[in-house]
Amino acid sequence: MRFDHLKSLWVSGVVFLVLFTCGFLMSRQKPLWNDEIYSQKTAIEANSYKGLLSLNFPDGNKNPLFYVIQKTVCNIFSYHLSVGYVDEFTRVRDIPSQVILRIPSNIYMSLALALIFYFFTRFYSVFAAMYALAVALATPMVWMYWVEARPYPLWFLLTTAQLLLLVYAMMFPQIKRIKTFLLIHVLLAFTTPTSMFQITIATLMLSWKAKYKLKHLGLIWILPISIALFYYSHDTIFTIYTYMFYTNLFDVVMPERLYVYVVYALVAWVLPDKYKKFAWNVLFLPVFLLFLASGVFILFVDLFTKNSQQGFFSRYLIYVTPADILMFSFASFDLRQWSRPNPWICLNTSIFLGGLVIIRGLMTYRDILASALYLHSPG
Amino acid sequence: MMFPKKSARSILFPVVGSLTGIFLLSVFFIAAQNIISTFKVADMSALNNLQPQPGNYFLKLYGRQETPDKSKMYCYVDYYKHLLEVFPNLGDAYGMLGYCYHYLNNDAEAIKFLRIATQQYPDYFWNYYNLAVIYINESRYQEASSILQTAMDLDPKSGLKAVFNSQMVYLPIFEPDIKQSFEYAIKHLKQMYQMSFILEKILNQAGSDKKVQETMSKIKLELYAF
Repeated sequence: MRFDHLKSLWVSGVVFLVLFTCGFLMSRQKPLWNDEIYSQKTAIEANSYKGLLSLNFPDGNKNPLFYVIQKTVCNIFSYHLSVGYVDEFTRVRDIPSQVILRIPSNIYMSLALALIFYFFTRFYSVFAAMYALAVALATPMVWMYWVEARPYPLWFLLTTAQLLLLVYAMMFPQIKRIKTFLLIHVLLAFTTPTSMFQITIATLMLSWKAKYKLKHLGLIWILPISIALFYYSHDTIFTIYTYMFYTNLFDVVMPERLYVYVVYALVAWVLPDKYKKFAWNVLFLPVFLLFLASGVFILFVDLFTKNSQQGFFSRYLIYVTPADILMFSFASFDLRQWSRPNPWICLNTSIFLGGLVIIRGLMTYRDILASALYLHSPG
Repeated sequence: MMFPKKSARSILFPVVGSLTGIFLLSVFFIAAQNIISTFKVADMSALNNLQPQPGNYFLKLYGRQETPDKSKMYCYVDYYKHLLEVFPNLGDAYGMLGYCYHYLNNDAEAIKFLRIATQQYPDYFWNYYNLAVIYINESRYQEASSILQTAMDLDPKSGLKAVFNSQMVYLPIFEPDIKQSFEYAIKHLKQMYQMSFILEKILNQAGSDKKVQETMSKIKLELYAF
């Protein structure tokens, strides 16, 4: 069952509210940690809007858009972080701060998940939307950074919006969304200099599959890339080798899903022509591969954390996670669709794909349990 | 004998299909069970992640005679609460929770945990002493007096032994210099037995509650972890 625009919007609105409420409860249970306090103290509270945009402060992360929004939220609530930077202890319990500082992040992540839900209810089916939401919720990075007063949820939201728009542009090449692309790319460039890769990938795909004109492509690429390069030149690039290559990579891309993509690509390749009408989702495969390749490249050359004291963290590659979620959802729908003529193959495919999601969900739950991110209220 | 093509397919697909389905379901079921069985290990990892570092904050605190930092106290509350989720019979953690909650201005929770501690960890002097101090602060003098009496009847040696058998709660506080901490703990225990004696005398001999209140207002009573 597929919903029209208005119905999809209503249902997705409800999903957003439910997710936002979950995020609100989670932010009460997740103590603040050093990096959140450090960003708040050294960047957001210590600088004017102009200072935040010119990145004239010691915080190692350069995310002007995040800082500006965060400062606005703090101004709206007349909020000032009372707890100081913690030395030996890494967690600070301060429920008002935990909630207020994470309101924007909670909105970003809930909105990103609701957006995925909307897209699938609108263009696929309600079942597909529920499945895609389950795939997203089974992904560890979502839970790790859902309520964190740092730029990662914003980056996640903008990447999700960019990818869904890209899929839309490939689905309906006759409809051009140049202004929307430009807006998302500019916002991405203001969010992090790393976004230059995904902006370039999206532009390449638009020229290849959506047949955008060169002047339009230039418009949605040159300005954002200039902004990203400007901030990259201002970024503090520390100079240590990334030791945990696979750990970092498989935090953002689920390894078992990579096997499914190989099977998906092979099946799509050998698929008889009569099934090809369903196979346009395959176009997302090069997008995902390019996203993955850019992540591997960043890890391989250690582009953004060269010789950082703490080394590389997988959260610097969080933009690959939405691509993984969408790729797995698309691959699942197509594999199930292609197997439909034979009910037994279809049943086994469904068990296999559903089983992978459930197993990943259990593993994510275990990992979140082990990380002790979310704690009981102290009473 | 040859089956007609269509019949062969109509038998083969359901058989192979259902066998594969059962196999897949079994694989996922076993995998899920294996993952669920590692939840306990995850709980232990969480415990390691929650353990405040360095663990000897309380020891450092005593040396400097300063009021405990609330945010650090919350770290300890999170750690001891999780410790009790993983090891529900760890009586020593209840006493520390009571101690922490007092410095988080939540004496109701402090009393609740200290009372459990006196039941589950009955040889430990400090749980009784701390409970009595909270009762004195709340002007519940009769209860305080009877608890102090019980505390003074305890054998100090068994209390000290209990501390040094407490692998997950007290020993991490005493590290890295266990010998010096032990000497400090003995000295402090002696002082507080004397203090308990004095407090008990005041509570019993002052006459009216008003007089006790007057006398107690002149003494600054603190809670101690050891």
